[in-house]
Amino acid sequence: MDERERDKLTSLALEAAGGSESAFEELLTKTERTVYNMALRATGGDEHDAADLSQEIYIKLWRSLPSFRGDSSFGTWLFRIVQNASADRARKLAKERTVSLTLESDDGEEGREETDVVDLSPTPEERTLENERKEDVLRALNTLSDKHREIVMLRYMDGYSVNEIADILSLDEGTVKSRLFRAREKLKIILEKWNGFD
Amino acid sequence: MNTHNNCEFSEKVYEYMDGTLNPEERERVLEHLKGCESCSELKREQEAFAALLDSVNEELPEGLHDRIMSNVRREMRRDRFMRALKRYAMPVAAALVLAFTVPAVLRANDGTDIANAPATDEMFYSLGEDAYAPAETEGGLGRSAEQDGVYDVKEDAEDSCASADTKATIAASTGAVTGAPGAPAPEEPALEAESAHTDAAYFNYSVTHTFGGEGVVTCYVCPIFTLSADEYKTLLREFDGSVMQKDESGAVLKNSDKLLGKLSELVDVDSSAEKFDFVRINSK
Repeated sequence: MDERERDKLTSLALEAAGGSESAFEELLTKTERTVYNMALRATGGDEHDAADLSQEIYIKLWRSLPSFRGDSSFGTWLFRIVQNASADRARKLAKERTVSLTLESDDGEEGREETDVVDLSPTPEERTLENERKEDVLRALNTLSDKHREIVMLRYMDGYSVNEIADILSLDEGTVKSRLFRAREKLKIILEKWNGFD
Repeated sequence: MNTHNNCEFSEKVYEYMDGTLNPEERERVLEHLKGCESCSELKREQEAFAALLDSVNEELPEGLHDRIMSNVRREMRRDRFMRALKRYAMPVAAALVLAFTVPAVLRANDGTDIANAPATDEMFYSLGEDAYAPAETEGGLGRSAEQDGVYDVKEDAEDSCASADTKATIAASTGAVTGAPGAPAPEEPALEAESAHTDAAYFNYSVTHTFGGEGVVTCYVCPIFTLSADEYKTLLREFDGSVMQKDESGAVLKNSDKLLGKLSELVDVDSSAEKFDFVRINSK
């Protein structure tokens, strides 16, 4: 996303804050894919939960739009809403998990904790070239340190600018640039080794 | 992969891709790219790298956009409803509250029979249990001094409370404003014929409240106590309650037991004065 598109988001947000439904829908169209993927990562890849979380995020966005003044970038502001909504959901799930451990089944026997184990590995038939590349990228990302991975994901998967990343992570721009450079170089080397990335 | 780009501009290419260059620097990089194959190759690599990472993102599930908009539209409708409720329901609710809590105002210009006096352009309210409601005659404003034999009622034209429009609004919404044409007068308890105090009079103290953007005037009947100039100054100095209004001739004070106690040291104070929210003290 370039600077012009970022400015457009800010002006749409201000328009939506004034009650414009069409501005809100345009804002949704421009951000929904990013938000959905952030929600997907927050819910461990569960599509159903990610869809629910996305809906919660946009309701929260609508409710808090009146307080958006355009002083910070809209992207940064939206990021915080996503963070808060994800944290709220995680807290709620943690509470529910605690409660469910003490539930008894109908016949009076103490219930056992059930954990759903979902095998996310694709079958050989499902592995396409595209999927292979995706998996390789994800595995490569996992080899990075947390701080490098975070910056790469914010920059390339969530589309945030260096300025916005600096704001989100409370770092100065120089630090973000140098971490981004190092993370990028590491990833390239790994991907090239695995797949001849070019 | 081009990891050996030695061109001095290569760092600028990264910055260009990251969007951290100013317009002038961006122009310079673009010009440079036209003539430098190494940096152009670097730019292509960066673009492919960005596209690869972005490809990890999933596409939006079908129908999710519409579900999200549908939920948000529901919130928008709820917000519009709440705003409309505040704007239109609040004044009606305020009028209902006024009709049941504000005392009636009895006035006459020259002490004539108030019961038969024509209605003036002043607000009047039912006092409820307190016996200063107007008489049941149409347009009547209440008891005359002769009728109740307790207090002289003075009109203070400068303090007239509300316009006829406001009066009509309240009458229309509640139908309970006594004295309004067609509105039934409430039953009133009989006034006590005896009182220790015969010099008190009434003052109309009015307050304008805003409900939902509309101004609504409330009138309060205040018994008046007249003090000497020194007594007046001393009382005001020692008074620690709220002074609601002050002018050349006196002040309206928030009533309290403490205030009535101090006043009773200076003048006769009838026990019925306790029922009033405010009290007017005049300086001779």
